[in-house]
Amino acid sequence: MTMLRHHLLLAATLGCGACYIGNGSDPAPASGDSAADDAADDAADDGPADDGPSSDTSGGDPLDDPFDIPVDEVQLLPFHVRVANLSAVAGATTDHPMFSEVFARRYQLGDHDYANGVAPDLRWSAQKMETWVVALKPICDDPTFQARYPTLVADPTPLVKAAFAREPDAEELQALADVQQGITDTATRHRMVCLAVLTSLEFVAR
Amino acid sequence: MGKPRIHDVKPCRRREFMKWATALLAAPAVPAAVRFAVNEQLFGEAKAFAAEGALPTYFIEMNLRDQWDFGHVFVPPGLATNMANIMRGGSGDSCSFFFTADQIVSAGNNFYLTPDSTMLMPHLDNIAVVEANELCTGAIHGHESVNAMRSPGRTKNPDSGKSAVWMNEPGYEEQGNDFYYSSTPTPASLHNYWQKQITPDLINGITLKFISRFHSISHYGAGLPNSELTRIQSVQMLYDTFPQSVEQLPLASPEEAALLTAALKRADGGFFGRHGFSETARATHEANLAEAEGRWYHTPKIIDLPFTPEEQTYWQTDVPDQVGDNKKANIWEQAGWAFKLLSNDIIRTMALEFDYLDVHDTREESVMKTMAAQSAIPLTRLIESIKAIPGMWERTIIAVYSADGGRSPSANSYGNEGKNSFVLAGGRVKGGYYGDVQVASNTGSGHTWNYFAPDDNGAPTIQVGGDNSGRLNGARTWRTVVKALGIDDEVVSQFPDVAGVSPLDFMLNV
Repeated sequence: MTMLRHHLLLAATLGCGACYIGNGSDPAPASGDSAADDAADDAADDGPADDGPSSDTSGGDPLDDPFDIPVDEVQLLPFHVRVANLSAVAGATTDHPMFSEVFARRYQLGDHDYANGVAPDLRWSAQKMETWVVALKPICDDPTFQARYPTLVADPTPLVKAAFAREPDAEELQALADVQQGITDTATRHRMVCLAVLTSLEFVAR
Repeated sequence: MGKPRIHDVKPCRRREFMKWATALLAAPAVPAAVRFAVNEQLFGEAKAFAAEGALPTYFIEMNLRDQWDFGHVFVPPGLATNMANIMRGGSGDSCSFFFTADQIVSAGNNFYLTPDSTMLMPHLDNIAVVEANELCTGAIHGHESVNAMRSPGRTKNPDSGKSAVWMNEPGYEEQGNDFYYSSTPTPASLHNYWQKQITPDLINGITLKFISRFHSISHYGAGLPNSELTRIQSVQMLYDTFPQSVEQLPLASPEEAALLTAALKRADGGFFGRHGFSETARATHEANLAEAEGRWYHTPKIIDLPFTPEEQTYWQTDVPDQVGDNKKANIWEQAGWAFKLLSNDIIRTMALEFDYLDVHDTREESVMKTMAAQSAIPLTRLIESIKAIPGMWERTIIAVYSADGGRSPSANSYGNEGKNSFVLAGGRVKGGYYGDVQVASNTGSGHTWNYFAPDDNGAPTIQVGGDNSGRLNGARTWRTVVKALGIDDEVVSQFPDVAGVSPLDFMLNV
């Protein structure tokens, strides 16, 4: 019952949000008003009832796909999902100082703040790749993280399994060997492997 | 002319010398005539012309939403010269214009200004205005996020070769924006792509998502690699993107950047097949990785974006604040940031997004004066600031769009009728108001209107029909911007809706 109440409350909240947008509820400016605009917006927004998916499941024509997943460009996992996954991989709660750079750059990394008009931005662009690597470095370099993966340079499998929830394939293992090529100091090799795993599409994208 | 002087340089030093000379001559402060003359002396006439074409250009795309009206900024000649007989007022079909006929200033080239816009007078030689453009087609009285002038050929159907233009806009929704498909890139995205062809390690261009409502502007790269602008959604995000200091780079050396790029390309290779992505997705990702390599280790460029008190006084004075639901940033701030970022060559492409809350029924004096001040004053200050940097004005283009349509002169009007305004400014622009609006009839309380588009000489001879025939095709406006920006025809010809279309050459000095 409590769960049902929560769902109803959520539905009502979302419904109100839609009403707000649907009304184009513009506070009247100092002069002029938007009454006609609101009316037009309402009329257009209401639209015909048959725009949505049918609720008739009794047979006949198959239902349309509810939505298409874009296949021409990868999209990032939502910011909070990426952070939760980082926390799980690092074995530290998100209030650990190693995550401070991630949170400091959260909006550059695609997080949202609807109250201030910032929507999620989940494009995996070069700019986000740059910012993501900056944010990851304190995590890769943190003693807590390093203690969790003490043999990372020689064997990245434990980190890959934690990050990807599967064994690495041969190409991935070769890539993680390649990323250490020509680097002599262990700390840098550790960081490069860590960055490569945690910047790979398998970890950040959906 | 004799032998190019480059032959006076020892062959073993020529490459180094040419690299040095090219970089030096590309600086904005080098006047064009001087640059051309030096290039001609050094390399010969043909190479001098080629060098000009490869120089950076700077582009500011100013998108003004919720059906902006420049009625108090640029008065169409047919109204300006007949104002004494026009019923004026803030409601119904009266003309939403609040100056008397004797207050209108004739400024030449068919420009008629008001006291709200006379500050533009010194720059009119390089400002062109056309308002009889094809109309916006959004479902709600024209509101849309694209505009045929910005992406000619856009449709509401995913026709062959056209892709969704809204996919990279954060928080995009249909209402007031609509879902459009196109194969033509929007100007700022195309310019961003083009500048990276000239300067591969250039910092990505940006767009300021600062419209107060849920309305948006679609920027679309049409699949051109690394063309998509960085979407900036808050002032803090802008400051974080262009920090005042850089304490450390993401990686310590170009070698590390190259290793990480190669490793990710290899490690990510299986992802696309496993998750059903197309080859386009792979190509886009690899282009992004290649650009990221240049960002993981780079020569930092820093800039102080927050305004000093003196800068704030300059940019803000007499410019009203944003009028809207959820105010993001004022237009004077956006103009000031654009000047700082472009004049320091931090970026070369910048789109501004701004709105005045959608108003209908009544458009009183304060509405018209506010919009005039929010457009004319920042434009004037941008132009005079850019002109103060030797050589920059001739390589800068500012395109201002009433991004989701304009209005008729009537107070109660919508963006699916009347004007759809386009203002082009820059050193390569031939100034003038091209086209006209005239009174068609008296209704007793106001008027109906006739619109005239310019012919190929710029004369306002083409009357717009009741079916809106005769309006300027958006492809012509688009080609005009692209030509002014110096983008190769070869690049343009790959887009079917603009290939073979003539620019409005009467608007250009190039």
